[in-house]
Amino acid sequence: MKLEKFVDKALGNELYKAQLSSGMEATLIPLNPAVNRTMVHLYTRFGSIDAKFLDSNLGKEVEVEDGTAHFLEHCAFYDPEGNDALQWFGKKGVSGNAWTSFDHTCYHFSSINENLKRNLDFLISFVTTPFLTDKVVEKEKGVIDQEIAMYEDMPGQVILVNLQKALMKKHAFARSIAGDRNSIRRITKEYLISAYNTFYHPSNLKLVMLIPSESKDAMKYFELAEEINNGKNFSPQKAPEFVYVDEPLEVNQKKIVARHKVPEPLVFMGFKGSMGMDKNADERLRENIVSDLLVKTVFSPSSKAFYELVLKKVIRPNSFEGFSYSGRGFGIFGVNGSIDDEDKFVNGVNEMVKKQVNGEMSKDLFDIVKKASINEMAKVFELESPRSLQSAMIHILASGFNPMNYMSTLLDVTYEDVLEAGKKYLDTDNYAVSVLLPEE
Amino acid sequence: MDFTKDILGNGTRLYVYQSDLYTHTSVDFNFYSQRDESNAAKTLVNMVMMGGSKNFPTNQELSLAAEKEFGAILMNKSTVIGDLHTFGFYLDILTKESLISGQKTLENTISLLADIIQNPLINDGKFNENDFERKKEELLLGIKKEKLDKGTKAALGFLKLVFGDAKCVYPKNGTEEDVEKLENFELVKLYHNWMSSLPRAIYVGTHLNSKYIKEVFEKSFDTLPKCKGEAHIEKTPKKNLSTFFEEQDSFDQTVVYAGVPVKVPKKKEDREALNLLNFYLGGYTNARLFTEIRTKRDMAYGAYSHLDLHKSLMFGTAGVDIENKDKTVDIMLNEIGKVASGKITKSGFKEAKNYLLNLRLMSLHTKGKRLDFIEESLLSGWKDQIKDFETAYTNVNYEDVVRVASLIKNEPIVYCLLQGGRK
Repeated sequence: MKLEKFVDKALGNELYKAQLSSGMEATLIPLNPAVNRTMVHLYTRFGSIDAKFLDSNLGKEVEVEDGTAHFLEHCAFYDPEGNDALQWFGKKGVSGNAWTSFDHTCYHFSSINENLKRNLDFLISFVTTPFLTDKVVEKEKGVIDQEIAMYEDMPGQVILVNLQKALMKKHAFARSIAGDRNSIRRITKEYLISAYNTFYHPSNLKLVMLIPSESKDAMKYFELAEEINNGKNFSPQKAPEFVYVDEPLEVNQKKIVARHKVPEPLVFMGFKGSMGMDKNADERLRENIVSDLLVKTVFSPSSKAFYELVLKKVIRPNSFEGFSYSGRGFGIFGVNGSIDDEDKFVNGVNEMVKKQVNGEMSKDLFDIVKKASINEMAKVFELESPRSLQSAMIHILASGFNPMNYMSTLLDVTYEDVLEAGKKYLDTDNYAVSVLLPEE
Repeated sequence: MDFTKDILGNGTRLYVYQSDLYTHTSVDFNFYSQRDESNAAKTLVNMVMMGGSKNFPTNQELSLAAEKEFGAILMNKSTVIGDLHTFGFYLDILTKESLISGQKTLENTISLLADIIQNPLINDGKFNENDFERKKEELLLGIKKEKLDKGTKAALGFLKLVFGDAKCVYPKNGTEEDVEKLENFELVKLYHNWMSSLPRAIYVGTHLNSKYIKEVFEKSFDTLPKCKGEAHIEKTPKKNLSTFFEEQDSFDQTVVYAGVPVKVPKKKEDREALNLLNFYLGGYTNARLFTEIRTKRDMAYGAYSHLDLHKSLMFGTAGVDIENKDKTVDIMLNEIGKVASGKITKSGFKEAKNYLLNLRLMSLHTKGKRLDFIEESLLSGWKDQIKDFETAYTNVNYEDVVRVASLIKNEPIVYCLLQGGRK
């Protein structure tokens, strides 16, 4: 087995990578050995954006219902005997859980630094062994129905899904990750089996181990993963073929308005970023970082432009925030806020964005924001919030990037790069707005 | 545990937890007072202080100054714990020498905080009028937003059922009426009064030397008036006004609260046992409530229990469809009744203890959890437990848990926020 080593010189972190003979790719990021927390993840490149795919058995393109990847996450959380995997983890004193994202579904456990072999074996076993019965599917419909009811009572969730719909014409990024209460009722065992067979083979599964360890011990973790994989007798299978659509540059719909439990209008204003998978991973990583720095600089609460909007009562300082979402073949960014008049907000922000991309964006502020980004990555590795490290690393890896290239790429980005991206993507004639008005 | 306590020259308590694991230094600077009708004023003064200071006259300049220190986080905060209201500031600063190239991030950020606290923008006995009005409006909106939030509304509904209008459940940011009444010049008077009278404490988690930390704070906070004493949480009086209440709102989900009063033990070992009993009841995904409500019956996404020692309450919560509301209440009361009568399985106890111990071991490195534990222990008069943070729960056995179950009074209190469906 060949082990590749990557180093982040700025922060002093390391990453090891190897291809296991089953086809599974394994990654190890050693953590400070003094920490007593091992976090292991097995993720599949299957998320809500993979609404259409080539079924590996049927050999033809299929389209699944909204929420299929998330539904499969619930159903896959059973061991080969049909027992809830959560119960197994609980009995062993291990925290097991899963999440579904736009472009991946991740199963993981966190434990003290003991019994790695037992826990890893169980993780790989239940994720790669389907227990898709009609009974399980019906059972999970009840749980997911209440999960969706929970999200539907959250204004932040509702407004974001509406923005996704407003932005995308063809891309499945428009779909809600969990689906809705109607779509999940239509999901059948057959849908799930089709997706499972295509995406849950080791050729599409990635193992990511965040383990307190010394560099010299790296190989032993890969040998352990190899040994467990070899014991499963996986049959060879080609990696899945993803279906990517050519998403037009124009937004789908200028504005979506709904009503919810908000005291005053809540506004999400979004722009399309880089879409598609034409560029290589390094180029896409750079584009992601440039977009991130663009949002942080243009919408920074430390900027004069921000303060001017506050003084004009266009925005409220404590409820104005830039955001960006990106992943395998998609990227959007924008800003959200709450204000008494949504049109005033949109027009004011639009005007401010126009000035910024036409040269008023502060070079000094860009330098400060870039320097501050070193802090963000260092903070993630301090492990104050283990969940932040988990989601940051899996998000970067699932997008097809190497986390060890993150800091060097960031340090290489210039003011001119960010300004150019602003001109390209922050098109003040091509944005979408999602608004929630107070209930009548 | 590398924990030091000190008192600054101005009377502020300083508690420092030091570990070489960290790259950042976090600081909580807290002012304590009784939870009452003045909550709104305290939260507002805290918000207005972030509007600008003598050396950084606008919020933008304050924000930029923090951003320059490798993006240091600087924020105001107000919260409640037991019958206390806390307002103050939170900072998180990159202080690892190898990453900041000699920049004095700690000194600069603490100096910035000191300017905010000691030198607010007050002219002619008033805060900046625009800032005052803007923050007042923000506070009002925040209160309205909380009233529309399902979780907050249900939690408050349950506590009001138990305690009525007692001060110990007074909203942390006050009411809309409290905010409407606030005047700028009055707030300035209150600011001066609170700076010189309220007990205050600083909690620091860092990799830096505690003596050095003390020096930085002594140097920066040289004009802060001297304060006296320490804050303490008083025992909450139980006013069981009613035992059952339902109200409807236009949410898509029904929230169920079912709880019982508990007697709070004086001994550390008994409090640990009671916490473990609560964990067995509803602390994790193999606990009784989750197993019965989600795993066996698919009625909820989650079902958990909580033990509030400051309010002498143990209660379960779940979000369910209205059709399953009665069943959920029955299950919760049945499970609470079982633990109250000491019907606890040995295997369940063993599993819950193992899970809880592992959870703690996995989190021992985190600053936030440790500092919160230290603060709560000091405010609650449970100083004896601080030194045992790393070994907590280790010595609790099955018999201890059965014994403390008798502290639960099986007098159910049920609150339901019924779904009405969105229009």
